[in-house]
Amino acid sequence: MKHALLEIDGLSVDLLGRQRGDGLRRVIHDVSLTVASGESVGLVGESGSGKSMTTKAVMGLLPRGARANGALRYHGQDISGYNRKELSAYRAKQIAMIYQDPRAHTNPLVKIGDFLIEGVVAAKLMSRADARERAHDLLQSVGITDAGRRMVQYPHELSGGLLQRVMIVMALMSSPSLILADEPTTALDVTVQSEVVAILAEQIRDRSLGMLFITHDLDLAAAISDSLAVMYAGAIVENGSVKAIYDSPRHPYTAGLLASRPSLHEVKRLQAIPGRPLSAFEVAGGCAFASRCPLASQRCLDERPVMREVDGREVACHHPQNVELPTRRPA
Amino acid sequence: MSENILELRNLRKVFAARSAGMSAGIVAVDDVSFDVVRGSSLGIVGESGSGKKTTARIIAGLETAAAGTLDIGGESVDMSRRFNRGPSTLQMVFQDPFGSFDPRQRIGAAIDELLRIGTRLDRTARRARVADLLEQVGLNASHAEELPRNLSGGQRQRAAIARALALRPRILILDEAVSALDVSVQAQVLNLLADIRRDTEITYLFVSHDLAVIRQISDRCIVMQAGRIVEQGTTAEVLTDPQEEYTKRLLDAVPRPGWKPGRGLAHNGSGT
Amino acid sequence: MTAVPVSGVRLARISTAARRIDPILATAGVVCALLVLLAIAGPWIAPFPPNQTDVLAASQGPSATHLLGTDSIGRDILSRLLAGARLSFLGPGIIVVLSTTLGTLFGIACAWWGGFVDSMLTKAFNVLFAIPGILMALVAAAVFGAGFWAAVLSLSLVYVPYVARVIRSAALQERRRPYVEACQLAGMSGLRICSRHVFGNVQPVVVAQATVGFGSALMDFGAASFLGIGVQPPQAEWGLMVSDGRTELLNGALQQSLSAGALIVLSVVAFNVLGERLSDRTGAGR
Repeated sequence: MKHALLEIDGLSVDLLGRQRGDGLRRVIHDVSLTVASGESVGLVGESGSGKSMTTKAVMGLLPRGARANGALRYHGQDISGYNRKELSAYRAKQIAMIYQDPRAHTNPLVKIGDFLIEGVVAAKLMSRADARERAHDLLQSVGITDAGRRMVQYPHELSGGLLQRVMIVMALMSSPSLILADEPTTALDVTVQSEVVAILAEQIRDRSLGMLFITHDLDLAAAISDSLAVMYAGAIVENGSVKAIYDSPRHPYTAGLLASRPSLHEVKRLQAIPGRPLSAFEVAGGCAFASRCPLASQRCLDERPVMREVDGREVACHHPQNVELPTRRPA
Repeated sequence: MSENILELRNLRKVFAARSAGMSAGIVAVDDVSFDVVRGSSLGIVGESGSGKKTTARIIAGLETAAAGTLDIGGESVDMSRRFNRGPSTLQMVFQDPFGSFDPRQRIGAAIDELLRIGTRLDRTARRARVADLLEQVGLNASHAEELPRNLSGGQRQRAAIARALALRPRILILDEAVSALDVSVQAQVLNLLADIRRDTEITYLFVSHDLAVIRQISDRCIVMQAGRIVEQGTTAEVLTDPQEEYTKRLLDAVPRPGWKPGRGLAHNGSGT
Repeated sequence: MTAVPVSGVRLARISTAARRIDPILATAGVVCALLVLLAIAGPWIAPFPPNQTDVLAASQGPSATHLLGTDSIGRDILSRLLAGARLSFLGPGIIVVLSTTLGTLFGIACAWWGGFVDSMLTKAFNVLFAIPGILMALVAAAVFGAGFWAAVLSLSLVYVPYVARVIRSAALQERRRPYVEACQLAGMSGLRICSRHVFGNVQPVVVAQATVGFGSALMDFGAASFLGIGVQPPQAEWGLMVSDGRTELLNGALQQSLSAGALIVLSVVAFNVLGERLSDRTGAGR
């Protein structure tokens, strides 16, 4: 029986402006999202979409001076009410994050084995010996057969793909119930990406974990997730099952993203979305996508659309029925 | 007169060993040969370490090579020297839109500087040409007054293309030129590049790790792995009906409709 | 719906571009500007001619006419301080101009050419690093005779590698950016690229380095004069005044040494702080 692990409810985040005296800049606008245990949610967006900031909010790691409204509930408990200690425990035991660049998140002077155990030992979750054994077992389960050798190596001795697998192990060490993966394979070769993503999916499935997978690659998100949430300019524009959204998108932005991607099988004039992706604070009023949307009407410029159920998924658009479905050839 | 604008034979590049502990050095490019037809577009595809970037940089004259021959436009090029290809023969668009321009120089001034060195146009003529180039790449003439930091990544890359076209090169080398762009912006730039090729006689050498982009932008392609060419042919053939194991593996690994990630596709199980 | 700021438990921090006004930087900047003003205008606002002796009024304490008293041969200390600012700043000024110019040239040359030029110059710098400034000034004094120029030129030489080292790494960083290759492909000469583009972008580093160097030069030049190998009497100069005041110290009269010394300290601190703050900004601004 799946229950909601993570509930983001109407989250809005404003950051301090860059210069002193600048007002607040909105980066996330009214985002609502749930991740159930055992469910993989793909959060897809381009620059300025707010997808990374959303994960930071979930981790409780918003930058200094950020103002957040709305509720973030984990296992039903609002984490914004947590004090320092509770938040620390939440981050140590309940959730884990996998970052895009493993080299930036490992200490080059610390051996892999020591790196893996230091978190759980410091949080007093298990003894050193138990932690070592767990690290060893986990390394093997992600396909690193010579785990013993790898544990005494330094990060620079491992390739990018191997190191990212180590980061997956790092995330699993504390037995979290939710994994946040922020573009974990963007920096990897495509064959390595395929392996790493397969391993991640396997671990999520075997341990019935929840996952929020952030990426700009809609095809990748569709392959690994159960449901998709598409973000634009700090807001979710479409949210639903992969099948519904990927096969028949109902938001012009989602459709535009799918149509603008070059295909392996044919050469055609790409249907590019004019303009460039905006951030939340660059949007004046009305629908954030209106300035680039082929279906934009006066209503779109005046009135910001709210999320409503259309065709088995949620869309924030005034004209979802008019969206031209992309013709896609199956692989 | 040959149809080929570029003929490369037996290119080999070894980077010297950096420390005493390493052996003979890294063979980045090993026995690479290919031709490029005038006005066509050649895609060079590979993963990291394949040698695709090095090959492109050697052709551009940014790196030297001790072995191999290169003919451009029927004339032999000395690959042991750098920067001797000629600004109106060959230009390059780089991957990083942010580092492509001097941060302190306005876009128009940057292009103007090139024109001042490479042509005999006077100030008015140069100004007009800068405006033309910017319009050609989908920017406004007013963008000439902008500093690079005030432009978006897509705009910067368009400006980089404008600059590369300023001296009317015969060959344009694009080194992962769209890889750092958002998907929706990438499509705009790919369309632009297709338009430019349609409107001029320029030849493209397009380096990328992205197979779909290569399919979109190139007529022929070569697939590189560990410094060698694994497969080459028309892009349609290579990507639709690959003959080599490696090419098939690459294609299998690309996320697309109906794709499922799989293990055992990379070089070896625990080695990647 | 509650509006509880999650930011209450902030941990990470986005680093902002250093556009805010730094009060310490501003203060240091103001102090430095005032000191430079003093150096320029000093002799004109001095109440007495700095070299006017009055043996009858020798070694007096502070009074209404002589605000800081007089030295051992009756010259007004305050006037000498004000006039002395000129040489105390001129010497380091020339040192900084010479060493920064040469250091920048060498630094960019090393970064641009690399290879043999770089390794030879770096070896030369390593030799110079090993020689303390004062030692070089002593040698210069021994060979050419003590004086203003001996001190200035010898110190300039010793400062070159410090500048060159910093400029070299800033220039190396700049050289690696793609736009440099784009310029080379366009047929631009190395000289043009270095002077217009590389230099332009390392300029902030040069300025920061020059400011810090000025602080050090103040110290070394003052020390050289103190030791008698720099500015010679009867000229007014702070380091020299610290030395002159030594005999009076034994008699309990601190004014000359203390005031000159305090001005040296103030100047060095102000310029060092200014230079370091500027360095931080150029580092963070990349």
